[in-house]
Amino acid sequence: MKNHPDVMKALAEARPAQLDPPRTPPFPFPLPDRTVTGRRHRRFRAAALIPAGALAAAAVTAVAVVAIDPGGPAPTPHGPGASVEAAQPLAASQILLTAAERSTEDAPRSGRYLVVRRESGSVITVGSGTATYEMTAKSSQETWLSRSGEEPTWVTFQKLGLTPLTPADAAAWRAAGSPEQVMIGKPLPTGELGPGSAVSTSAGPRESSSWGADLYALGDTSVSVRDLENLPTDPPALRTALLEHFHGGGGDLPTDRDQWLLAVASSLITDIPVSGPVRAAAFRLIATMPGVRSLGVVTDQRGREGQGFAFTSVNAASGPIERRFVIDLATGRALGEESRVLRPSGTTAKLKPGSLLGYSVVLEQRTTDETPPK
Amino acid sequence: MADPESAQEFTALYADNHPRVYAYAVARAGQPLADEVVAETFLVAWRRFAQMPSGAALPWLLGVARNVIRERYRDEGRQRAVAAEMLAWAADTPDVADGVAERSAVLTALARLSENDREVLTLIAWDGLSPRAAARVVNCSTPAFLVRLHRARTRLERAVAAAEEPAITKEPSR
Repeated sequence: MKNHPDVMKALAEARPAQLDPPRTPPFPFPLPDRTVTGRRHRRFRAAALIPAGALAAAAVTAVAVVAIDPGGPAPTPHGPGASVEAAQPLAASQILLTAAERSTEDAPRSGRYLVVRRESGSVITVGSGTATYEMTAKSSQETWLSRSGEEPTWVTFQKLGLTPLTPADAAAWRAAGSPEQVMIGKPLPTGELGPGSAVSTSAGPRESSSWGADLYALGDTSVSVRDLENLPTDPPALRTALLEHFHGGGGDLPTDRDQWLLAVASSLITDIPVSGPVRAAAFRLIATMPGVRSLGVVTDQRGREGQGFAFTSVNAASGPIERRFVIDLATGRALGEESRVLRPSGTTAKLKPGSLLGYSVVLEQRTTDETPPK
Repeated sequence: MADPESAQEFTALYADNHPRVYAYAVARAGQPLADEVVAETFLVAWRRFAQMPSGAALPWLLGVARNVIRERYRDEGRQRAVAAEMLAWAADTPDVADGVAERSAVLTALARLSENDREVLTLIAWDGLSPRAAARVVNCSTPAFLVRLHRARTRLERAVAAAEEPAITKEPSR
């Protein structure tokens, strides 16, 4: 396929002038002492790992709200008076070890393709006129992962549009004239919104493309399907194998080794499809990590009930985020996960504790010999 | 209270690399976020300055920027905004000069590609990196990067052909 042999040249020539900064501004901040920064980081971690009373209370309250309103697509942020005691939830270790046992029985099946269908959403503060309200940008992904790695993997993606998060947001959207386009601005460190650009609220077409490169990564390292299938099923060995990819973390991953391990091990439960025995090892590994807490019975964003566990993900920009996982203990598989504001600060300063930031639900995961739809 | 020698070295690194980190940030996160991404990138870079590989400052800085963007702005909203901005650049092209139709078709086609495809293509075409340096940014091996690049390029060719179709009926070029 060389109809446009110079497509890279054409692309280079099409480089927009907007990429060049008007000028190089003076250095934007006083250089902090690196050793002090490092120390602050470690202290941060310690705070995250000690389940302070406030964190535990927030978790219990969130569970109670979900239990009261299981049908709601998104539990509304709760006030301080909304707390109701949840009845004897399973301990985190009970949830994780039961999930591990079920996962061990989830034997690898035959089939050329591993099909994973999921929906994810992220909550965005949007504006129209002077009004601002929350909308969820949803999308669906269907992945046909070639298990041999020899056939292309197919990914079908569809933007499902933006929908108001709560009835109050729906009322605000209608009051603004039910605009088809809303403004999305950058969240500033103060929690205010910066100047926005117009984005359509309607759904997009289904788009399929084949994928020759590795789709998944452990930490920042791309891994092949074969690498994933060869991950150890023994928890200490899995720990060692995952930590081989730890090179200081950073970016969207924690720089603390244990926090990094927790983030990457939990990705094997939801994001990255691995065999049942590997998932079992991931559950057992997570069960040994500090800071993991039980949520008891919770529902995912599709209203499906499961057992929940959570940990705190420390993020300097957005304040601490609670990452919550909903597990179907009948199969040991994840139904979904979500992120919620724990203590509003930085970019989440204007949100209430417990506000939903994003979610992902697994709608289907199976192996097949069928041919991928294109 | 940074030690003066490192601070001076780092300030020079900033001056040398700001325009290219900025360009990467615009292409990946959109112009409205670029200044913030750049500031955060250099803040993280300063914290990890000791780990910077000597002789490969730019790929390392772009790798940091990439992680900053993925951490803070990885959501759907950002991707929609970036694609919309690219389409605006295509529409923005004054329709008098030569090669305008092609430029517009290329930018339109690029906006339609996946984020991953856009990334590998623009690291080469706009950021001017070698495949090896670009592979460092996206943290994969050079051969793996070349495979990604090949596929992204094929998809771009297809998308350009599709984007040019309506234009050809209006004003045939070549």
